[in-house]
Amino acid sequence: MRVSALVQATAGLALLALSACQDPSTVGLGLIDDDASNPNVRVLAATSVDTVGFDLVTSGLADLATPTQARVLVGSVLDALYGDATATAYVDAIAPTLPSGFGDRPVTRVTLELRRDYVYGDTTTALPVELRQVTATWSPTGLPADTTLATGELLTTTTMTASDTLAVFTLPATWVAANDSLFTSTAFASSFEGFELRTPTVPGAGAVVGFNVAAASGSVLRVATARDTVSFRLSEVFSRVTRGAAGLAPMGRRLLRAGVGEGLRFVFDYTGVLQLPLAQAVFRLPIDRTLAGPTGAFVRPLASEVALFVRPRTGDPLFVTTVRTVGTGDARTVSNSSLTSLVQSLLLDAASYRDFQVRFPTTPVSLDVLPLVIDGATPATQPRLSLTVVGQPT
Amino acid sequence: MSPFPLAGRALLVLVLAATATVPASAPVRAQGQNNYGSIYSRYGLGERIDFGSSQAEMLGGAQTALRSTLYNGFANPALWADQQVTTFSAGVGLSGVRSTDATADGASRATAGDVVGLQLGVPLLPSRLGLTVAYRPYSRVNYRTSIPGTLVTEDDTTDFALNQEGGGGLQRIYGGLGLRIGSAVQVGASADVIFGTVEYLQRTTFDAPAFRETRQARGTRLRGVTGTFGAAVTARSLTSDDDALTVGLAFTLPTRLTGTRTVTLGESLDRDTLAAEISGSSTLPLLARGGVSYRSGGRWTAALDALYEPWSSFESTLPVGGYDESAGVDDLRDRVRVGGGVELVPAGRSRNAGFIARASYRLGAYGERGLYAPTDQSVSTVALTGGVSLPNRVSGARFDLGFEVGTRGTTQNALVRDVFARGTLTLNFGERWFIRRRID
Repeated sequence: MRVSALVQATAGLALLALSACQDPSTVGLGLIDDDASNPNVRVLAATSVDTVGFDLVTSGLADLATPTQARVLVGSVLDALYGDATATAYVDAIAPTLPSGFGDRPVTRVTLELRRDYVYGDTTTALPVELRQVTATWSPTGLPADTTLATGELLTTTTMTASDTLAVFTLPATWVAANDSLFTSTAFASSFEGFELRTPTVPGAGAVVGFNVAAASGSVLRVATARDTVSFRLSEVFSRVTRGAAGLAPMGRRLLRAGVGEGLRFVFDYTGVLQLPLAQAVFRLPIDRTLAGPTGAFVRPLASEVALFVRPRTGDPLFVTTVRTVGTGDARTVSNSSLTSLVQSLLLDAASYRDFQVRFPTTPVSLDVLPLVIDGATPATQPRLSLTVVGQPT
Repeated sequence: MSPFPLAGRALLVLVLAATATVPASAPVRAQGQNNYGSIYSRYGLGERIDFGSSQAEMLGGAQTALRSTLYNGFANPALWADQQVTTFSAGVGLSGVRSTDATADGASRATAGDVVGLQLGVPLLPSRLGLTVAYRPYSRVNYRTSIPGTLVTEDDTTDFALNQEGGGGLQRIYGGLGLRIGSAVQVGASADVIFGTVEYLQRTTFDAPAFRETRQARGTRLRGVTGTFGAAVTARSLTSDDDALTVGLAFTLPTRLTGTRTVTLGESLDRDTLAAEISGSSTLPLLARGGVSYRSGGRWTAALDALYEPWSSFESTLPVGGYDESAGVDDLRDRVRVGGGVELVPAGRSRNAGFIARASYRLGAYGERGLYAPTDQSVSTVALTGGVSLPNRVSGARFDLGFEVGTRGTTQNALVRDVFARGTLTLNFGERWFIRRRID
């Protein structure tokens, strides 16, 4: 019916009519340029920078379980600039599915093999590492970083060079014989609490090394019989890290090191940018790279990234993004979407937030350093927020 | 039984057209939607829209005295008394504008679609008392201009575009009665509800993906009620037995719209209000219009209209385009429009003629001095209108195709010259609804 066709034509045109287009240009600027406001960059230098302490978490579960901890630290280092440090590691293991008949044969050899992936200090140091069995029952969740776990007698001491990539600790035959049934027991998880790795006094500057505890790295507890060798994955891990007094930082520098529960707090004055639309926010930390990196054989790894938090007026700090030290120049946020959204909220309601904080990542635990430039001479030599805003304050 | 179930189909068209209307009247321009027109639509509360009927649109907008039993015009409620059958009309339009000024390198081209109006007329007493309810836009804001630039930061150099955009407009819903008094005089009145939002958006886009688009919008939401009163007088048999001359007048009273203004940041569904909402009011000026039409048999019709809107008396405590009381800005002027046209139906009233002969052919023109005078320069529009009304197998149904081409403004004194073209498609239905059943 013709009318029906007309109805359909009308409906179609009604919808088509809404999908129009435009080729915009600068035509008409003379009529509206009084409203125009170009984007511009505002740099907010931190008005105060303070050191803050927080609960350090160094314990966790290997192999990506939650809470994750991918590394343990062992060793002792003397560092007049950032402060001395001593680390003791604890590693537990978990039994795999054993081969048929494994329990019928006596265990002949047990070794703890750890893959080193980190070193802080003198890489030429010969590091004696003592191995003890943990006797205390412990959990990696909520474990204070200064906890010392009870252990048994010294089982063995293995000396490794800090630059070695693999450390192998062979358990004494007497201990193996005494614990033969432990490795085939269905109660292994509750009967065995792991090993402690500790360094006695270290000559010279010393070093703290880190072991990757993921099974994929090759770090395992290897249990062998005359016929089979079985690898027990590491499960619960923990590093106790203690720090000595740091030296006096050079003028205009703030020296920060991971592994001691220390971070920085930054306050900014947003006057002049409040209520403005924000296109991009970049958080920058000027760093003095001469105070990190290797000095001869002595290595102070520069933190590749730190975590940026914002502290609301109420509630716990919220993770925003990471600040990275890639390339040269400032450490800065690279992926800025979440930071831009956060700062936009802050510009709309500054009273809802207290400050920003940076903290070292909790995993993998390290002694990485972050030598900040904070001299306040210019905005470029001060931690700062670079904001691309649109328009001027009204 | 009627061969054409008008009620059901009318309802379908109404729903579809109303669906299309929602975006046009929504306060927020959805992201990615492009629907733009003239830069002059930023002035006042938007470009005024005067759609009367598809017939009047083709006759240069002459509608105050244009009597018809099928076309139930919006402008003069007195003419609603002419209804003999229940009428329904719905229409959509598509406009294109090419804009130039003295400084820009190229031209700006824009297209926009819209719903021109919806109308339902019911003859309570055929040819004596008619009721009409209708919707049509009152004004439309739909401009966009783009300022390019380059931004240099510590890490990036990126090109950007600062877009100034306007969206929204006021809508009008009204209902009223037209009454014939005696054989020559008819009067009418309607209550008009005006509402809508005018939004000015500053949208900044960047070429570099590291920057995100910013959107800052100033929206003014208004609402109010006014009334329209009209009258028409018809003299018949002036030069022949089958001619008529009609003179019509209509007034829409000044009205105070109340509303709020908000400044927001962000996307349409995730906006943050930047400052406290500001309450205020805007006073729309009087609209006065007068017209004359002459019909000779069923073959010739001519109509002429004049319209006056004193926007120089516009007042608003809320700043709008070209008017900011607190800043002393007032670019608004009285709006004047004159238009007219002629219609030819070769077959006259014959229903037995062929399709071409029963079609209506219309041509008109209008001139208008706009309600704005940026840089103290009046902006005038002249346009040619016309179109054809196609009959349908169903008596009382017309399928109207209209056009309008014209020019607005000049490229001198920072002004913009628009060359525009517009097409409209309107369906008009007429059907007898309330037939008294007779028992012999």
